[in-house]
Amino acid sequence: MGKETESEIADFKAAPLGTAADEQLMRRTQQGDRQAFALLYERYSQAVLSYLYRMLGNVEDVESIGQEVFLRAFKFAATYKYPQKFSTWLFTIARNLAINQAQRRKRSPVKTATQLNMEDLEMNSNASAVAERVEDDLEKREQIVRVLQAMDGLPTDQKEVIVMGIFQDLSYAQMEEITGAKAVTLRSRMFHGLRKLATMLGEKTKLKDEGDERKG
Amino acid sequence: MKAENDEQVLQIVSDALRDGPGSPAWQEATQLIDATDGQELDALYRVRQRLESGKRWRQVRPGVGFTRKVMEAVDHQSDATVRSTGPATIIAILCGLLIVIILAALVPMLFSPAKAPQQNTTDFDNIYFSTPWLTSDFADSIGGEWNVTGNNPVAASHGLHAKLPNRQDTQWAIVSAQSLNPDQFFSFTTRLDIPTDGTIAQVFITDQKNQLAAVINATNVQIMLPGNQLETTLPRPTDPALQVRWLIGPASAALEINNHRAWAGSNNLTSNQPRSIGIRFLITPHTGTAAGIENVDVRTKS
Repeated sequence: MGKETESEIADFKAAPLGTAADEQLMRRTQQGDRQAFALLYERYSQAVLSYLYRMLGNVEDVESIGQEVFLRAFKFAATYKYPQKFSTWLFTIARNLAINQAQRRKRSPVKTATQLNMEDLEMNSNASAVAERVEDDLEKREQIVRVLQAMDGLPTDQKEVIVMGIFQDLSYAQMEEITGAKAVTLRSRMFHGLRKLATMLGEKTKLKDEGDERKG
Repeated sequence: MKAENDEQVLQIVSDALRDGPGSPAWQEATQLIDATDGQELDALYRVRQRLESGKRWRQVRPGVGFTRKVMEAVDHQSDATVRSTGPATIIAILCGLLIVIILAALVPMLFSPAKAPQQNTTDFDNIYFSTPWLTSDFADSIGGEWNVTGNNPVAASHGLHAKLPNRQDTQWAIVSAQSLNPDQFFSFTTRLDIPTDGTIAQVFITDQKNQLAAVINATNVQIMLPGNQLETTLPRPTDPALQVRWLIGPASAALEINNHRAWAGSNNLTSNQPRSIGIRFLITPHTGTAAGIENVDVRTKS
């Protein structure tokens, strides 16, 4: 029996569930352990829902796609192959569903949910609320609001890499795996995305036209 | 700027933009402001700082209702998978169960350490025992880490040995002076000389009331669970020198003899009592001359 096969049938009874690594929990999920999956959900639900909201900008979509992400992760748990990072695998599912949803529906206008605390989703995170919470300086606060609002005006591929890399803290290697784009392309999108935001903010830049974006 | 230089700058800047203010990549990138035309990079860094401040933008938490819906859907999916099991799958499962039952009956008869079955073996496969807790080679002393008991004095000299001969049944044992927490994962490895002359050795873990032990005599290794219950009997390798290794978790245990997994299962130790480790020799008259402990190494999970 190969080492991987052995580990795939691993019984992790000895490891306390709460401290088990994502990948261990996922392998238990593959054996039908719903408690292990519930822990993964607990660890990643906020990250996935936030990612969807940042990309789709629509509360209803976040709710329906968010449920679908976790249901698919459970349903197709067998397709997860160790030692891939669980977070990379999960965000690949989330991204694919988000892209499908965006194509299905020509993006609905973003609903400004200022102080929502609903039974289904909790959010208090629009640009103004966030800026107010972190910054006393009025000018800087205004800049934060403007840069966040400008995010929705970015081309999707640039916005995606900023959301994944900065807001979701995924590495370029993980983004490479999730999106299928080369790292140099992703780096370029990050660079040009931020440059575009700088331009939208009226920051003086001497950068060349965005047409020079490097292709990986 | 030359192409390769551009690439280098892109690498540095894009790392800094991802990692954010305060990161090593950020420090490196800010030095570029002075080294290159700083204005363009400065603008990027300012935007990045604003994004850093706004990282809670559109942060969403699942509410009770959302979580309930997801878990209900998962339960439904799980039940549907069971319900949708077709006749062919059921037959395959039954055949699989039949094979497992046959194997379970045959394995004890076929057992040898070299072909150790992999029962629950993977409890410990992803655990690395790298933190030394107690190491002794008994080169010239027993050391205060051990309590010595028994009616046969022992001496340390390149291993631990009893002073013989004896004219009656004797026993001697060492037990760790310190104990381990019951929720601790640890490995207990020892190399023993157990002559096949009637000497019996026990390598045990005790919770102060009960013990889990590997009892090794001339021909067998017996796994004794707490309460003096015989769990299983396995043939002993013929070498007089054996390496015995216990792997212990809060509720589980595995035994390896000469690096081969011999057994794994529940340890049945009390879950809230500290655990000590020890080795005991039972020696009948005119035996046990060459019995001894070469070394002990106990490590905890890193």
